[in-house]
Amino acid sequence: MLWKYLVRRLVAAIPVVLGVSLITFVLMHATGGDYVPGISDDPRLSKATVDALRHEYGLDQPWWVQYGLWLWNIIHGDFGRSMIDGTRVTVHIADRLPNTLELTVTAILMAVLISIPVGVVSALRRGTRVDNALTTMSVAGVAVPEFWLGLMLILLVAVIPAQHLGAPLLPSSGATSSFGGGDPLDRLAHLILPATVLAFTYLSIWSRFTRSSMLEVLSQDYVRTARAKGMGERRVVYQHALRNAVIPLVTLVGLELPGLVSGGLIVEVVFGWPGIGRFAYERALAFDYTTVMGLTTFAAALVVVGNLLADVLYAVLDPRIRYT
Amino acid sequence: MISQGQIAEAARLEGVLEGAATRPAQSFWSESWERLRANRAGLLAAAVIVFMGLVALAAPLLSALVTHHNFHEQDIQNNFAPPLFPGHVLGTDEIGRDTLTRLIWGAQVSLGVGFLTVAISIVVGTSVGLSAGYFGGLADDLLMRLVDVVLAIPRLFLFILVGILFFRSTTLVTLSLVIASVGWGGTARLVRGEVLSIRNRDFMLATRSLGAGHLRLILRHLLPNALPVLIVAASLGVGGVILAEAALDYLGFGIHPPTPSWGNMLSNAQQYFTHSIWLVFLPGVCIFVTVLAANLFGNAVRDAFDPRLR
Amino acid sequence: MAANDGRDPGFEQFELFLDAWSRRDFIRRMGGAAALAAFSIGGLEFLEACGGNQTAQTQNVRKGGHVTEGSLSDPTTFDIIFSSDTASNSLLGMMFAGLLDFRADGTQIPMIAKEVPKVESDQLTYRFNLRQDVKWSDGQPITSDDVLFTYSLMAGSTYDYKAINSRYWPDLEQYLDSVKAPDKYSVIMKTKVPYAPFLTNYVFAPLPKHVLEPVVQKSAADFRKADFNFAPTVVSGAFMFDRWDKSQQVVLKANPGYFRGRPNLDSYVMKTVPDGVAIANQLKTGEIDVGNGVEPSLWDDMATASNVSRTSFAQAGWDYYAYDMDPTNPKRPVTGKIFGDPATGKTVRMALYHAVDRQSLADRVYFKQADVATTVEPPTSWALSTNVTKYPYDPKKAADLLDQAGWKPGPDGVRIKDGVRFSFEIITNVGNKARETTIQVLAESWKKIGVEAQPKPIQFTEYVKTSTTRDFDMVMGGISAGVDPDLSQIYHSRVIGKGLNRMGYHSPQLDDMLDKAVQVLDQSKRKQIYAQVQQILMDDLPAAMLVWPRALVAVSKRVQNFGIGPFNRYQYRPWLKDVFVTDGK
Repeated sequence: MLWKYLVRRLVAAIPVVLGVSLITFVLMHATGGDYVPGISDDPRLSKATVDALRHEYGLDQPWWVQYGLWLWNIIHGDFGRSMIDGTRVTVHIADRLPNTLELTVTAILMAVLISIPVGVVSALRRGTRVDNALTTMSVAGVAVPEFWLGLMLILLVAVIPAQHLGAPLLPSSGATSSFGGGDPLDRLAHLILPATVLAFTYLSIWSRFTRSSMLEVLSQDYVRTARAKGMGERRVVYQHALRNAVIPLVTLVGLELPGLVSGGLIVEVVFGWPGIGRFAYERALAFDYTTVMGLTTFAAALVVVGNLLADVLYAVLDPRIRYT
Repeated sequence: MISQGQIAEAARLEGVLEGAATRPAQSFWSESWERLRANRAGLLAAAVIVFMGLVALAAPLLSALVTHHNFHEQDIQNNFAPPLFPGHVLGTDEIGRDTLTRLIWGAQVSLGVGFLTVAISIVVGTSVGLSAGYFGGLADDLLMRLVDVVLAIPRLFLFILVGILFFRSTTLVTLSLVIASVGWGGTARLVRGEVLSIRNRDFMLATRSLGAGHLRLILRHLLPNALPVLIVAASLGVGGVILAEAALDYLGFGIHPPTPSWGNMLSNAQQYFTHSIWLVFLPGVCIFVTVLAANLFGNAVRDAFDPRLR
Repeated sequence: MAANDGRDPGFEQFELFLDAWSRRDFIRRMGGAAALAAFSIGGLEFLEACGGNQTAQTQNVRKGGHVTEGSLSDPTTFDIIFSSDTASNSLLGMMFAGLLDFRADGTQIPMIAKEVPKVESDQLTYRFNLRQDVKWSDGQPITSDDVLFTYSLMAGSTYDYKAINSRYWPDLEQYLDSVKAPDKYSVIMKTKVPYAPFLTNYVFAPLPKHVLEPVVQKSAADFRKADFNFAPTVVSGAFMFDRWDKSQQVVLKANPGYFRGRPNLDSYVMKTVPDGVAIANQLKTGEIDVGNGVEPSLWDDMATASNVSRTSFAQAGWDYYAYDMDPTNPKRPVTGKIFGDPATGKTVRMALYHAVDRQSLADRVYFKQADVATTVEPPTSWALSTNVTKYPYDPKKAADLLDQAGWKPGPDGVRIKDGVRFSFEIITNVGNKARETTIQVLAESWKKIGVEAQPKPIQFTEYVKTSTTRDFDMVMGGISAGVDPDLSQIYHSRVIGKGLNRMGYHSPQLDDMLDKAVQVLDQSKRKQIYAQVQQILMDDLPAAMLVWPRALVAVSKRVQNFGIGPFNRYQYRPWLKDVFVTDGK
């Protein structure tokens, strides 16, 4: 039953990915036309040379021909080569995707691990000052621009301590130290700030959500029954209520799975994180068509897979969900 | 980065959790309205938004009559003036333009983009969602496929691509179109979800059996029931768009100087941090307060329509 | 291969490429205030004296450790024949020794060649005698074969040099006659005509023939993508390639076999940093040791960082704005006629120039880290002349000149003539904050005299395209030049639509002079010609010189002997092997 569902979803996903690639292709062409980076902007080259190079890249063909050719290659697993450095797009992706996933997965985990206790405490102490404080912070948290938060943290955690204490508390850019680093502890130190910024918005929303979810569960009949049976409050909360309160949170987390690849773009740019988002941004500005096409299509495929995973997750966790 | 669609979806799920609206239309509305009015934080938030909106609309007037500057007038010898400098209540920027005036005009841009984007998203998204949900079948499949495609493109990638397309002519309108090009998908899904849950209710079947046409059913029965969700989504959406515009400015897209937007004022000011911290602080506060207000209002509306939370 | 490290004279390619890769280009080249006064006492000596962080300490040298330099962009290639951006040039300069090198002030010094050749009596031939003790890092000797091979990639009949597509082949095709190797340690280069910039611009660091010949023989067109160009296995310079963490840093390690002696440092790291603000931040936190180009708005703040010392110096570059002055330009006929009108065009151009308060621009927009530009040659140029038309800030005069030219104020304040409104767009590329601010200042300045200019920052690639499409009204930009004062790439009519002459400027008199000036090898005679060139250009004003931005470099105090200077900023750093770090880390 599950397999049939999955297969059907996968099949339905293909036109989606194709649609994405088509849109991206059309957009890139509308903006750049037949521009070849590094070639078209070298005014000393004769027209003949430029035309020859355009022909080599196939840019003199009508756009639907180019798209068709590109599609043919994709089906064979060939995402093409970058027009700027000639490296295979798949290699570029492989170089950077792990970094992005490291960042986004960590951020999501951080957000979940903080949201749950915050939301539960808020719910249990509903109406008190603790609750109000936490809720206010959550609501405020969503209103802060991400890049600004990142820049402020860099100042607070790296620059100012360096000036007063002689060294930054945490590094301000990159995934590893530029010299002598690379060990897990070093990577962790570099991960903390960007992951925190990324997690910040998530946890602002999720902690409130957990709170309302917890409140909902606590008012359910079975909880009242458990209390009436004389079960200790702790057991009521941790054994029964919590588990059920967390399930809907999974739904929300699932909504974020598709954003795993691109969600961290701003954070990646602010912190110089060597991920896919930042890379796509730089290459889009440089008109490296092939790379941008490859990256966007790949990201879309991941989004679709992410959606699928999310659906499967709900299905596994909540047997009440039916598939249509 | 969380999209407005996802925030809205979260809000909807929260609503579902507390028990989605199953009451009949009439008294529901007046009850909810009462609850909304009683929510002081929500009202305050609404007041803030209305205030900002009025400031934005009255920008030319305020600029002529109150501050006596316009937003591109330069007084370069007095750049980086601090607040309470003679002639410049909130100080000046890196080439001596009056900060207060630019904040006022910036409100026009930031809020303008916010509201216009949300308006476009809602109009397009609602039409698509209603049609898909109501007619079902092939229409539903095709439309939702389209929505899937739009939602599958990583948001920021799409912004960058479309932003490059409109680069030379980035105006309030084109920027709104760019951001809305992604946002409408979330709204469509939201509305479709609402339609699906209401479509087969008894009162719908009853009305239909009485011979009511499609249009009437959609406009008079489905749409009003989807409205609360839409209002929440819109409110949260405006906040999200203002933040998105700021992010785009940081990346180098968005509205360019000399036209001020809170977002571009904030990003430009980063390198002038040591010359005038006010240039960073003031637009940041404007963004923060407005987005906060939009979110609070959205929450208040949701609370009003789904009371089991508070 | 110009003396300012990997750039053709007057060609803004590297800067443009830099913009392509960095979101925020805060690197500005700025002119030194003192340099101007210094030229009256013999510029070069002065520049040498104040060229960079010359804290030459020979005692207390410590071996070991590393230096991290911050860069705004990732490098793109390590092959000199393809490279055009500063990050790539800096790195390849460390790995590949040249036949010749440069001192900070721009004088050439020998490197692999035993001495700097003097041209022979035919004015065409240059003879290079190579040192016999220079080896590749794999032990193979560097010989004239390598030099021949390198040139054959860009000219000659051995390989399809057009397919290889080095950025130098068009020029070499025009000027290079032959490169011959009579024996293993001699090279004779001959130009087709006497060509003064040859030595400074077209003498390249040799590439290893024994490694690359098979690669290029397999496919000339794919040579650009060869692995060697991204991870050189064999080098001749002070440092060897260690690794490249994409989008993060490139790490080089000391070359023990370097013919001038192993460097003091163990490693050199070029780290990619998000933007100019991050460069300043990381200098303060110690995450980078060298900030080669600090944002002027942050320069004063850098003084508060106790672990960093600052250096600023004049450099070979200028910021300017240029007019579309071709009345026949099909893309922009209106402005072409305004700025290029045979009768009134010049008056209009002069008027606009008078209306800009350049001192104020230098003080406020460049935070005093720039000097008012008075001529078309940069402050570092030996050919700089002060005998040119002056344009003091005089808005009244500007208004009068416009009236004279028939432009009268219209009902909305914008001037009109024959039904045409004096309104146009001024473009510059996004990402460079000083420029974006400058066009706004220009717009306001001209608004005051009834000229409507709309500032429009545009995408970098579009900006670059305007040099070929000429689809612009007015462009504001910056140029980084080399040691040679030749300005043909910018103002000669033959490069209209192909070089930087987007203005469509055509002066047969100037063309003549520019051609003559590169064919005269005697420096004092050339200087006289360039004096006339400057007079013409500052009179005609196809482009208006705004300011000379200074180079702003901040170096950690633990780094010693970092002799950076106007022509030792990127590719050419002959003092690199003597750099050491005080803590040895």
